[in-house]
Amino acid sequence: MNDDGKIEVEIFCGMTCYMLGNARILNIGAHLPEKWLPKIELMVSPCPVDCGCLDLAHAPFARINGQLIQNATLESVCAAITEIMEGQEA
Amino acid sequence: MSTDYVSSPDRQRRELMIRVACEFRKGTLADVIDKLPFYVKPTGSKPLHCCIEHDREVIRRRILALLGQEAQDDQDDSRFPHEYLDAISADSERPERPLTVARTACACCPDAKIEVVQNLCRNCFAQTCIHVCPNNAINIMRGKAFINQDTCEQCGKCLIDVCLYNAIKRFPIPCEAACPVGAIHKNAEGYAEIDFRKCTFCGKCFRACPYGAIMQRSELLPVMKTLSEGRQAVALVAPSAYVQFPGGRDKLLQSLRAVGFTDVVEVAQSAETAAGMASEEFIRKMKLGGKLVADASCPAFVELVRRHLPAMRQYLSSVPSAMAIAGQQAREKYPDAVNVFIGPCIAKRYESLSCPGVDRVITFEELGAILIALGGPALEPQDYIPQDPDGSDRDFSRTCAATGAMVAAALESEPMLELQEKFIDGINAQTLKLLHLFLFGRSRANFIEVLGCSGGCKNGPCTLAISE
Repeated sequence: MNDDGKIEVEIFCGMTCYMLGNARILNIGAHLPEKWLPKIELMVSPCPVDCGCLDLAHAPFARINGQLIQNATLESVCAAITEIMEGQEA
Repeated sequence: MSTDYVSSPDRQRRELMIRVACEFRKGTLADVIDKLPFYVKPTGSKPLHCCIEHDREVIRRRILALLGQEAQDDQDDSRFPHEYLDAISADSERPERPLTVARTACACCPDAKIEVVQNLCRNCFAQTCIHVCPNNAINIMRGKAFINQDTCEQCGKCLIDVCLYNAIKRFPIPCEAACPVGAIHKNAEGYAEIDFRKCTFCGKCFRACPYGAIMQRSELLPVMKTLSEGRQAVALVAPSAYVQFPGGRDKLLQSLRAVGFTDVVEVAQSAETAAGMASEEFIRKMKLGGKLVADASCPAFVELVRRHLPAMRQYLSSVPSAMAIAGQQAREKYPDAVNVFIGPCIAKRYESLSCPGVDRVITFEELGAILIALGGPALEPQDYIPQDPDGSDRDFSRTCAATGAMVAAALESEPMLELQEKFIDGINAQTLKLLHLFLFGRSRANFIEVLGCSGGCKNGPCTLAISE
């Protein structure tokens, strides 16, 4: 969570992460309920690890509230956000 | 396939591009290229095909295509990737056909048919599917509906709002279903085969095949050799590039210079020139009593006309494409340079073979691999901002309307002429029928713009990011 109480969603856009899927994950807003969007801060960030864009086995990366997700997909990032949002709503 | 995901074949292709580009940069490509299938599919990893050896063989085929070769060479299929490396140079011969099929990767999809999904069929009392079939092809066997493929004529009447359990489906052959001109088909052995007399290189089969069996013959390494040897090279950047890379337009242009391009030409500017020439041509032809002008910006449409709509050739604009104009301008400015077009399009690879100002074509994916290997400011996305699509007033990357808008503007000074414009946004079976209407004089349009990819070049077969 950031200071405003929003969920921090970082999509890493080093060229490898970008090519292997994160270019598409940037469109995540279209896949989440609209009422959640004001509670999410979507950030485009530089590389999280010092892999020199060569960690092909684990790219692409995303980070949600500080938790690193390897081999991120639209589905895995949406699932992580959903888990947090549903936890808050419960 | 959904555009929100990078499919597994896309990921594997991109991963290989990155590995090949990085190993080339390190000078170790010859040592490792034959081992790449083992690095990508190490022992113990889950096989996609029947076994891991099959997966590795498919990867070897992908590497051959990356080296610009036929993925499956009927003359000599025993060569290993490293044997091709010595022949690759900045000046090496270009592939005549940009597409190739790897039979090893082709899954020999079953024949296209309509079939009942047995575990969805409820053997209902209504049996509407049986009643609507005009060929009596549907019967009940062992308590489930069953379609006799010998008598079924694929009319599809049983598909439309008939089964309330959605148990009847059409099973396509994805590549065949995607091709609007019937240029790809299963051969006698069951493998996909492209008929290059019919192919317009639109890339729809390349996108559709869920096994990635249709591959592009790449020019990645000749371009990297050109850059590494310090030769003059000019990047001709397609208008759709700027929304495809993190960092946007300015960072991309900086990156291209940083990796060794002597100069960067923005093809959007040539697109303005081409649209102006198209306007003049339209006015000239209409004044001479012409009926129709077909814009020739899209190379897939140009090939469609040449190969499938010969009656439309007379209406095809004679204005060269923006890529050809940009290449010519670059040639005049840098006579000794290698001019590299960077775009999202497979058909541009084919078009470039007849453009004297264009020496190589690479896609956004291949450029991404070069940027990773050679570095550049595009790798710093902190200030990611969705950019103006093409850096010009007009959006030549997004819609079909760009040239038409310019023609309309030109007609303001010609009150006697009227523009009746028609856009065709994507070539498919339906829009092909529409094109025939123009030929039979069944449309009032006097100017048509056709783009092979729905939504324009930003949705080309080799894009990285999603367009709106």
